[in-house]
Amino acid sequence: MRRRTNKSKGIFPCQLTELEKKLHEDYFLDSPDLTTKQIDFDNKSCVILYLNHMVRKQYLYNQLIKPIQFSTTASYEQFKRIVPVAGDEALNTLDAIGEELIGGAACVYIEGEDYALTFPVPKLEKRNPERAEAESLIFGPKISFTESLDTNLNIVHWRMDTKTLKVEKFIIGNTVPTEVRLIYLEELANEDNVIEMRRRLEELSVDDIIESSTLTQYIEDNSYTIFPQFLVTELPDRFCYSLKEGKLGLLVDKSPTGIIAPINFLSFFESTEDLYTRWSMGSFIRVMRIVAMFISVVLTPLYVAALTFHYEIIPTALLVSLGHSRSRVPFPPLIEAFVLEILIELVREAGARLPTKVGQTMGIVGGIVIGQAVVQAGFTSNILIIIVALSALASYTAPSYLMGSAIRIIRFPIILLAGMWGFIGIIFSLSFIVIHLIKQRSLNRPYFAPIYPFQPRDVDNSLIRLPFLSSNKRAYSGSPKKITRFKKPNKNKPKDIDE
Amino acid sequence: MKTPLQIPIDKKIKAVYLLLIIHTMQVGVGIAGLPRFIFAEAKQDSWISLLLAGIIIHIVVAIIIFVLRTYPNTDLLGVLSYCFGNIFGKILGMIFTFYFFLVFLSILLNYVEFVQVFIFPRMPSWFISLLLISLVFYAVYSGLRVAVGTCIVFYFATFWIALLLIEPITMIEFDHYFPIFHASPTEILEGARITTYSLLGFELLWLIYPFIQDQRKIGRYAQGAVAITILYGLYVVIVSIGYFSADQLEEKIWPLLTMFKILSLPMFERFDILAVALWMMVILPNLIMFAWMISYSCKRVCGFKQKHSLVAFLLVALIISSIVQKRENVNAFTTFIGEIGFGFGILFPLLILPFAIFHRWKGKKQS
Amino acid sequence: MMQPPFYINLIQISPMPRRLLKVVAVRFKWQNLRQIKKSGYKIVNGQLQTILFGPEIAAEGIFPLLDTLERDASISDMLHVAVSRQKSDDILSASNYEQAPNIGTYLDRLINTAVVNERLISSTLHEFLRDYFEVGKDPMVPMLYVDDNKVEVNSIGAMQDDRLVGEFTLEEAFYVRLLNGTFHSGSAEVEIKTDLVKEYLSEFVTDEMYEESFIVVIDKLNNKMNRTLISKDPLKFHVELDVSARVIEMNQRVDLDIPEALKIIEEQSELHLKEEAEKILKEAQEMNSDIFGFGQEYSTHVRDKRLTKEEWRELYPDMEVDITINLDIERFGIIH
Repeated sequence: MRRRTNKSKGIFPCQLTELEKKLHEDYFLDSPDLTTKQIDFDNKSCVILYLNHMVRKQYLYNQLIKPIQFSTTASYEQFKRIVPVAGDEALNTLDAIGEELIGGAACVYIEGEDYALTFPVPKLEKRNPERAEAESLIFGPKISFTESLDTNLNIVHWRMDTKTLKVEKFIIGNTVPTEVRLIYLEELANEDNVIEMRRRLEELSVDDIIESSTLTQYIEDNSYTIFPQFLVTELPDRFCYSLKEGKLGLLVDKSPTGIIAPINFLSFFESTEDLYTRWSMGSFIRVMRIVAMFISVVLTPLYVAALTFHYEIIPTALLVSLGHSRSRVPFPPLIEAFVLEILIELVREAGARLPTKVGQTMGIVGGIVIGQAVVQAGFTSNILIIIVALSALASYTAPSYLMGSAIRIIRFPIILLAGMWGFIGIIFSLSFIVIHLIKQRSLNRPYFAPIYPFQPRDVDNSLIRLPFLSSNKRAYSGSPKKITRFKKPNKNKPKDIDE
Repeated sequence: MKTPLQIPIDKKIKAVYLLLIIHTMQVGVGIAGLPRFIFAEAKQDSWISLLLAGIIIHIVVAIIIFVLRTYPNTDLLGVLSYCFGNIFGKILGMIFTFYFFLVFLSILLNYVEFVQVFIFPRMPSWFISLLLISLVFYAVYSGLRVAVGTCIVFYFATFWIALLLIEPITMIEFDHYFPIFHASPTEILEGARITTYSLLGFELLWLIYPFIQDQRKIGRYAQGAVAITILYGLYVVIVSIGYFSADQLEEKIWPLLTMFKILSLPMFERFDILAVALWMMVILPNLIMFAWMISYSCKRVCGFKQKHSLVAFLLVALIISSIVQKRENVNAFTTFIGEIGFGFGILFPLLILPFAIFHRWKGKKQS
Repeated sequence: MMQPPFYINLIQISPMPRRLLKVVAVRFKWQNLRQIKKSGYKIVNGQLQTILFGPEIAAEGIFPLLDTLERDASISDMLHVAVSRQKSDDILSASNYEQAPNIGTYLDRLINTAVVNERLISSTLHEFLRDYFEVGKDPMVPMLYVDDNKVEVNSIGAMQDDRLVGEFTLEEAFYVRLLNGTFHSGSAEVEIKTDLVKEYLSEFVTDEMYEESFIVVIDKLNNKMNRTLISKDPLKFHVELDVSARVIEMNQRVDLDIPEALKIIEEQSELHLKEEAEKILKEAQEMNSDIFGFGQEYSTHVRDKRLTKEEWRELYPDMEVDITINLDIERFGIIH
């Protein structure tokens, strides 16, 4: 984790107590965790220093302290020979030693020498990979990324056992340096994308990037749009599939999600599950998600517009029951819809914050009990309940949580415009959203591809899915180095029916 | 202005987009009233007028491309200064820009009229214009790439509306088409003249030419666009003639929109209201491309920054649209635009053709 | 001057978004059309479904009233135009309207069902006006009638331009539609003398069962009409109708498996259809109402100048029409 240049001057050679004192006072600000173990030899003594909570103690005793204790002479050469821990470094400044200690190393110093030796024996608290929570799949691999970069890299390498997998290391963060890995397949990933991503990562100078989803917000193309421009996923299979499509992946230490870039709008409605199910189901579900997105955006506004201005579009039979239902509602449709939409958002948010079991109860209480009561109290019409519930449901079909939230939020201004100017308001806002989407870019690539720039050959990689053997091309709009995935097998087509 | 334009590669667009851009430019407000205009002249033989107009437009487009290819990678303003010298070229360029502005205005006013007649009789004109103009500004401000993208996406978002005429098609009376060849040649010619100016919009070629990536293919796609437009026009005109009786058709201001009035889907009893609102997406590409043409030719002629001229002329358009209120004024204005559009769109290329031929002949002689 | 009552069946919807949204059928006199604002609700007319004219006003001409509606873009072109045989007050006060929410919806449903089942010819605002403007074609309208406190459609009215000049019962309407062109369903009763098919009667028909004539009900399956102008002076048309049909009812046991028997039935039916059609045509000509659109056909053959309505009104009553009907009975049930 060396990122800063060592400005402090060398302190060696010095007394053992002097080193201990300096570390204790100047670097660790009297930390109670700095532990020392002095070992005396015939002619000189050496000291082993480490931070109590950062090292694997058992390992330290057995592999470092024990061999040194039984050593015959005190010299670094001898120590290196008898200590089986790899990764020793020779350091001669206080800061460098301090950093290594924080990173979980033990420092060995022999009195009077010019430098100290450090051995990494870190203990990292991490959990085991578990089932994916936010992007759960019914079908296919369930493993998800964890907070440990080591584990994540391990998973990725395990899934992608190919020599062209290239990993580049970046360290970002001035006060809290965090390791970021740029991962791509060298034979596929577009050169321009790699250069652009590298540039953005190198130019980024912030205190702390906290998490991968915050990193995306630092390096995205347009911070003022509501739509996410990089895909954040916790699924290694999705991550690796994207790499195989020629995309770039980022893994951030301390973050349980990977970043995929560049990405286009429609990819947010894809799920790897579409690949695991048969192609017909996969295609159907994909199209359904996009339709659901559309429904979620326009359904409530249509209700508001129709009831405020365009009664004539509602079929008479429905209008009659709607009339009965609305006859007790004291608000204009706009307020009515807003009340209900906000109610649903509240139920969602409360359910998400509470522990799982309570959250489920909350959903039932919020959904059914309040819904019923609201209609009976004459707050809203029951048809609106159906509509709002339907559009909320539809917005949850987006496999990406960020995109789902974006869709739920853009609904509010559209409802407002629909309440003010009817259909004109709806079409106006839809037009605005479309222009906005066309304008966006993800890592300098068009965001609205393959619709614009129009790329009809990408239909099997965006809107629908075809049988694998007949869709052997990667998405053109992703511009990978190699378009063809594999050669299509020669099928011996019979010339006639019975041949 | 004679120096060839250097357009950076990432600002260029593919030639295939012309197929849809020119088509959407031609079909906009004009097509809604087209059946009535032609029918008033050529009666049941309107389709002949339309075909004739189609041939004329095809020829004119071919001429435009021929002229543009004569000079090294340039646009209308470059051509004008080659033919008439720098000063006259600039003046003509300004006149052209003003003409584009008038067309922009007529599209805007007509759509405002649609909305006021079909949906919101009391919605103020300036407000509807403001909605449209803000979208136009947003799209054009982001550059040609976004403007073109908007055309393409909005085309896909709205082309299905034409398929909804299936309901009127079932109500066609075939007797309305007979007797064929009843109209006199002058009537048919007059019908063709009116058609040509309802289907203007290919003037875009004059300005977008240097922005096209694969310029060899321009002819193919531009002619394809015109063919699509003519087929679409034929479709609309033939259905309207069959659907309305003669006197009825002459009374309808926008036969196309009226035909949507009989559409009723199970959950959507009156489709015409949605159709008029959706028509916003049909005319937005027109407005956007014209706005781009205006701002870009302003830059070429006067050297103004594109963003400044864009803001300025959109404001003027907004003010004018809030002043013009009456139906007759809009009608008269539209007809006027048609008349001058015939000159700018059809006659001008014919006029410039000899210059281009001369230029090529001279070039050959020198080499 | 006493204005005849004129009713519009109107869906009335609440004021802007406020308060209730309620659907009410209101009726009002024509003079009051502009005074309807008396209602506590705001009236919007986008859901106007049926426009019903009383007999007196229908006889005077309804175009001026329809014209105002047509000009209003918010009014649907799918509006039904109908005429009542009694005072339209009676129609609207009929209290038995099945399960419909109100009389307005009921009337709409009634007419719609009749149109879908092809008992009526559709007469929406668009179609009415199209025929009205057409030279050589007159509109038809459904005629409503109250029987036992319930509204029924029992005939179609023939208009001359926009004036009601006569009517045909629903049975006669079959022939009107036959002469009008293609349609998909409908049935006619034909009376046939038993003597003609005596030898083909089933064996077990006893003498007691023997009757002078019997009735065959044929159900039309398909038809094709070919209308040609034979001569302009004198005006003469030839109408050729190819009808394929099935026998659905017959109250005498004739063995139709025998081709000769079927042939006789066919011939007799053709004769009957032809007679009836000619009768209807004569009636329409007497009313001077060209609901069949002969004039439209005629105008396609006039080259030198456009036919005018007046010219056609003079030509139409003296028009001669030859009708040839080719009936082809394709099916006649399993039991014969």
